[in-house]
Order: sequence, then C-alpha cells, then structure tokens
Amino acid sequence: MTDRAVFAIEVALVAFAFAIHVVRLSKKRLLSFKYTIGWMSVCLFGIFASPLVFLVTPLAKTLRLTPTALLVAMSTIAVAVILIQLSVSISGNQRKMETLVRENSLLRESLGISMKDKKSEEA
Amino acid sequence: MVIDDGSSDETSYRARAAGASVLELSMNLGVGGALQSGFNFALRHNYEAVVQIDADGQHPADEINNLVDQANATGADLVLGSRFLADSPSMYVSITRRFAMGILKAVASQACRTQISDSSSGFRLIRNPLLSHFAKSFPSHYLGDTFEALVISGRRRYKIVEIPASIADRKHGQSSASSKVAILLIFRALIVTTFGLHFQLPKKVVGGAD
Repeated sequence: MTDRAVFAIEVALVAFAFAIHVVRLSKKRLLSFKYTIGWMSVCLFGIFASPLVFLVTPLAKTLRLTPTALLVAMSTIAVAVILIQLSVSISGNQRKMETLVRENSLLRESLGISMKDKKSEEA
Repeated sequence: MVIDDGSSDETSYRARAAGASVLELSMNLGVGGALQSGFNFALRHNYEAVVQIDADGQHPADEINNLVDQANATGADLVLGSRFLADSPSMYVSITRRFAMGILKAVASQACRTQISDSSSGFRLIRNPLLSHFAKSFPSHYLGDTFEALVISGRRRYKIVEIPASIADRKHGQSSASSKVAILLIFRALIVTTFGLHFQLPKKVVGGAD
C-alpha cells in the first residue's frame, strides 16, 4: 500500500471519528440541528474526498508550495471561515437577546409586574 | 422614568416607591441599551422628545427646561447641554483626557457643521424623528451613546444645537472608566466613526416626512 493510500485512509478515519462525535453532541442537545448538518457535511466531505489526496502534491507544485504548507493553508482558511460565520451567528443572537430583554421589561412595566417585588415576596 | 439596568440592589423598588415609572432590565445591557429601552418606552407612549440626564447628580434637573426651550426655538433634533460653555465651568479634566476630548470635539464639530464643545455630554434632548431611529438602533458601548450618536446624527444632517449647562460635583458613584481606559475607548470611538463601523441611521429628509 502506498503512502498516499495510507494517508487517504487516515483522513477518512479521522473524519469518521469526528462525525461520530458530532452525532453524540447532537443527541445530547449540545449542538443544534443546523450546526449538526453543517459539521456532518464537513465530515462527509472529509470521508469522500480523502481518495483525492493524490491531487495535493501536483496542486502544491503548481502553487509553488510544499504539500504540507498547502494543507495547512487550506485548513487555516476553512477554520477562519467557520469562525467568522460563528461570530456572525453569535452577534445576531446577542442582538436578539438584547431586544428580548428590552421587550420583556416594557411588557412588565405595562402590566405593572416587578421582578424585584416578586423576589422579595418569594423570600 | 428610571431604568434599572440589571442592578442587584433595591433601585427599582425604591424608585417605584417614590412614584417613578420603572423599566427593569433582567440583565445588564450597558448605558446605550438602557437608553434604547427608554426611547422605546417614550415612543410607545407617544412622547415627542426625551431628555437624557446622568444619574450622578452632576446636572441640575431644573435646566431641562433650557433644553426644551432651545429645541422649540430652533427646531433642533438634538440639543446638547455643554459642560464647557457655562460661565464658570468647574469640571476638572486631566491633560491627557483634555487632549483626547479635543480630538473628539474636532471630529464632532466637523460632522455636525457647527462648533461642538462637549461631544460626550450625557445631558441632552432628543426629539422625533431622531428619537424613533435611536429606538430601533443605538450603540450600547462607552461613548457610543454620546459621541458616536452625535457624530452620526450630524453626518446624517440632523440639526444639532449646543447650549451651556452647569455642572456640579458628582453626588453618587464614580466614573465608569479610568483615564487610561477612557483614552483607549476614545480611540475606539474614533476608529468606529472614521471607518463607519457604527449603527445605521437614515439620512434626514428635509422639508418632508422622514
């Protein structure tokens, strides 16, 4: 078995292990359906694209890079894209949460309900 | 109107007991977030304008009438109470902070096309249609609610007028930022306004509905 074939199998195995971890997280409700689908797609891409590792060397030569440098660059770009997308998602959620807090306070004010009074009554 | 920005003390209870309307935010949203809540409250109760005043007692409440009179006389969208236009300003400002505030002043004056002496004043009147826009989108970080809101309003052609406002020693609490932190935050505000990283504000439509 050639080195490339071994490397392809290793990539596929890592992607498969990652997919199992994603499914576990999803079952524990630690990952929403949207992100489960996203990460499963990444894993499936890793599994099915692993036979294409033989393309890395010629592509790296064309770009005048070493294969390692090419893989590191591609991985870094992928991680950066994912992080930006997550930052956008978190920023949106933060805005929604602030709006919810504001609307909640306005509603309580209009209904004459106070959080603090309720807390003191409970105490 | 008292806005309790996620405090853990008895602010809301005591304010309500004293007869004030109280908005209780279940978590701390920062000064801008609290102000935005007040703007929304004002709009829902059909107020034409709001007056923003710091809670530390530095501005005499009876000077609110000066802001209202000036807004009515000039038709301004935003009236600023300046701590540096009064006959005998008694506010101490360190040299480094004075330098940074000078830069803010220059940027604000250029954006508003009028001389602004106190771009970070927390004593101001805001009226419609600017009030409606601020209710939808308003920065929540330090200097966002004062300097950034002022600069963006000026750039969008809203009329801004400044009048003298007296300043007294702070009666409660302390400044939320030390001099060093304040200077860093001032540079952040400058970056935000220079590169247009601020909230969106529609341009004022002159001579028609906005």
